[in-house]
Amino acid sequence: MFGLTKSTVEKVLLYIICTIVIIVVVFPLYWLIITSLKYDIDSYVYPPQFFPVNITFKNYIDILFLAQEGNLVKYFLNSLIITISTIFLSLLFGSMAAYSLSKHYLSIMFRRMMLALVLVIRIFPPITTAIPYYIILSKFRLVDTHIGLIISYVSFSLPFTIWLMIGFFQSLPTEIEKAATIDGCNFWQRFIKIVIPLSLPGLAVTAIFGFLYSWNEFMLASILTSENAKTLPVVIAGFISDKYLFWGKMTALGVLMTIPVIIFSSFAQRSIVKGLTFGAVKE
Amino acid sequence: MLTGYRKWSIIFLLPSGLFLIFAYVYPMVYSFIMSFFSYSMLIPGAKPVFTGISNYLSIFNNLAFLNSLRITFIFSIVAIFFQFIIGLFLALVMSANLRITGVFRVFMFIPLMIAPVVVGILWRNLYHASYGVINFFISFLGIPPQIWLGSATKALPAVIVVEIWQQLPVFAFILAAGIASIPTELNKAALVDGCGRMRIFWHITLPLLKPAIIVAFLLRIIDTLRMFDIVYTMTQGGPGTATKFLSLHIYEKGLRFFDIGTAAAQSWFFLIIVLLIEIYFIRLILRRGTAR
Amino acid sequence: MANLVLKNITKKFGKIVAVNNFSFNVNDAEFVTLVGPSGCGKSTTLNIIAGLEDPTEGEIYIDNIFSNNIPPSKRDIAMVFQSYALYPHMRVRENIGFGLKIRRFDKKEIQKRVTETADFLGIGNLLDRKPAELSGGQRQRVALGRAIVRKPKLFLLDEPLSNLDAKLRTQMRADLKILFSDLKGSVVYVTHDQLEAMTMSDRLAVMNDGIIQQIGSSDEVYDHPSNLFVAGFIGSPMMNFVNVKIERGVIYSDGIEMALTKQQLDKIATYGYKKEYILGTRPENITILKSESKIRFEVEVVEDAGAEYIIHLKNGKNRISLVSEKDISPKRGESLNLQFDVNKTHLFDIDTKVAIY
Repeated sequence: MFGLTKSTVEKVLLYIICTIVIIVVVFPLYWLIITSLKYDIDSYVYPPQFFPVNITFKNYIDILFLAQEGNLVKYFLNSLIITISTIFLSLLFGSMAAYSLSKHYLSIMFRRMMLALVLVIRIFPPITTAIPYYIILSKFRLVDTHIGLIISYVSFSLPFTIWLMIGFFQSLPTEIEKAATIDGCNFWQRFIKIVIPLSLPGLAVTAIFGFLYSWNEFMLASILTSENAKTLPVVIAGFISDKYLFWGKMTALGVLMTIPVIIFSSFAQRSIVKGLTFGAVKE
Repeated sequence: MLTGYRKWSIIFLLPSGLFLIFAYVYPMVYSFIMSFFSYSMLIPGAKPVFTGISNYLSIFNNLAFLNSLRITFIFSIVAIFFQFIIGLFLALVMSANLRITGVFRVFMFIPLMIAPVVVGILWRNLYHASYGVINFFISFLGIPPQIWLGSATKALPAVIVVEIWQQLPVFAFILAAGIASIPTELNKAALVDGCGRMRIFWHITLPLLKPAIIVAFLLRIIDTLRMFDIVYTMTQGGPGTATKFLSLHIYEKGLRFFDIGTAAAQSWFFLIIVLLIEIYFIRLILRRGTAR
Repeated sequence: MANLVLKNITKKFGKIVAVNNFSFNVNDAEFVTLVGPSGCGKSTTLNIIAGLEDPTEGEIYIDNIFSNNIPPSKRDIAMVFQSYALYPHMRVRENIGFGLKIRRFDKKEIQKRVTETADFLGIGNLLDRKPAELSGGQRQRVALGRAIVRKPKLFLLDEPLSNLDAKLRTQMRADLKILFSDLKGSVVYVTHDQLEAMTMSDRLAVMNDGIIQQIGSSDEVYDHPSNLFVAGFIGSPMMNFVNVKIERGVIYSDGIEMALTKQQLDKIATYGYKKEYILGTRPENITILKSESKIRFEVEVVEDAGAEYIIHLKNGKNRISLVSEKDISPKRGESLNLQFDVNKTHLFDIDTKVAIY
């Protein structure tokens, strides 16, 4: 630790600890995957089968193609549409708001108040806003629509986006924006052609967290959607009943849900760490 | 011409403002108003009846609510405590800069990737009394198979373990970044001064980590108090009300029993408690900031 | 090209007055420099001319058109920044052409102008590189290219040479002078380096603390500084200042006894008599005499500057320096007889710091 030379004993100990932790962390994922590849009966066996005796893709076929479960493709598309829209809108509106709050064209009191408001909203427990929001949406006939959920998700993502992007914008050299102004850019052009392209890392971080949030969110989705706009997390939860647990199908769907996340984040690891640690650590 | 910029600055704030007003301000105002009424949407054609602050007062007599409050807080405190300790330990391990720590960091992400609903289902399987893997492993320690999720005493600890498992990366990464930002000269100077490793850790590393720790606590407190997804799929609040977290309680109040007025009052009560706690922590940060 | 007129420009940031009642003009194809120490308000003035900041009071006229309310993008000016402010995510070609693109010039026209400008500045082969791949001098030329490609009425340059190393700076001084002379551009140049100001400008405006100290040509500010600040700021090594008394037409101070000329006495009489004055003499106007003189100083330090000596001397409360050829080699502690070129001395009011002559 602390970059000092270690004795061999320490090194071995660290290797052992790392291995143990990795196993603890990965095992549940492993279990998720192999359960999805087992026949349900094999899941009820004790001692548990750590290596599936009979591998099957039946679960995947069942949920993808059989009509009983509803149209999985439709739900997958719902999740996709909602997630992508959320990312796009929260990035766009969030960085616009952050840009406005990072300049000094508006009074500093106003800006501080806005920022405080935005951060306070981050603290609200979702359930407190979910129920009245549902009632409001039903008045506007927006229940079970993509829009209703997107508005909620975007609003949830805005505080984080704004907070992160303000930091980014403030670290941009002001002379570049001055040069753009003199070159003839108006406010919007400066924002789109100069500031945004130079802030891509920040946008990447926000996009990833936006993705993680929207793709996996359950509570609001379960309240605000029923059939039309149902997302994958709601579908999975729908499998739970007191009578029979469809381990195979549930885990298969779980795996299908997790694959895009893993792919997406493997490209974006450093951004994830940046997002987690932003504000906590002075660089 | 600066007024032109002022105009644009306001325009840029509008979309976000509108979203937040529609999705947060409007609902909260509605909820606030409703909290003073008695309104059950179950009865068709029912109208809200003004009842003053009786909804709020009834909270203090409402055993179910108080039970949920208790469960949520115990959960939060215990979970965060362990996450902190283990997370700190892991952060130190990650700072060791061995070849394996690179791989280690990659794997540490995994729990965060899996949707909480899926995590709930997964661990429900692992904890199963008859065929769960957990019981299988503890049998090696000579412990007989336990009923986890069906036991009023063991269900909550079981959920805490799951939460710790899923949220380990957060604390670990934040603290690891904090450790990385400590200039190594400080450690070297301390070594030269004759400090042992433990003392370096206690007197240098920890104090300098305080800002990172506080921010991590801030985030984790909000998130643990929100607990919903995992319990919904894992225990549904059971057995009985052993794991009926506050979010779940309010959810049922409002969306299963459609007792809107009470749910609204309980929501606001919950919100104020959370705000007070967070403001306390935020002040800690600000005070730290000015002290520098 | 255009002219620029600033009338009573004042800029306040809260209580701080960054620019105080600044009036001056730039004529067609003139190269004018705003020079002064850091924080004197020169960059703020430049920003006001550019339209990046609004003046608290005062008027700006560009080409005789009242421009206070015209935004920077419509003022037909170009600016070169100290840090060059190149767009990191665009290639050189796009950096130079950006202003034209925003103004919706024809693609072919942009191509033509960009190539012309790049060739003119000798960076034609760098058009497809990104700023990060260029050296300091190259980046500067790209910044210049971006400015001149638009053929604007007025060029504003904010300390463009400050980030270059000394050798490159000397060369660029000359190059810039030639460049703008060829372009016949009206230029407002800002720098803290008095040598740059002196060598490059047709006229200079010396500023301090937001106030213009003097406006004039290099000769004027060098030979006839209007106050103590200008006298001390312009010229290197710095002018020597000593407190002196005058009795019966003779200047007295530690180590100094010097008779004044008739014109000088007249000027003093017109100005009004004071108990004490400040006498200023440039180091290059002091000579070492072989014979006895009424000005005697003791050598403290001799600096060998290669082509000449810079000798620091003292006598009592007075410390001065002079520049001398290397035919003598004075030693520390040696006493030297000196002569001040009396016609090139300056006298300043000790309170108001204004030059009497």
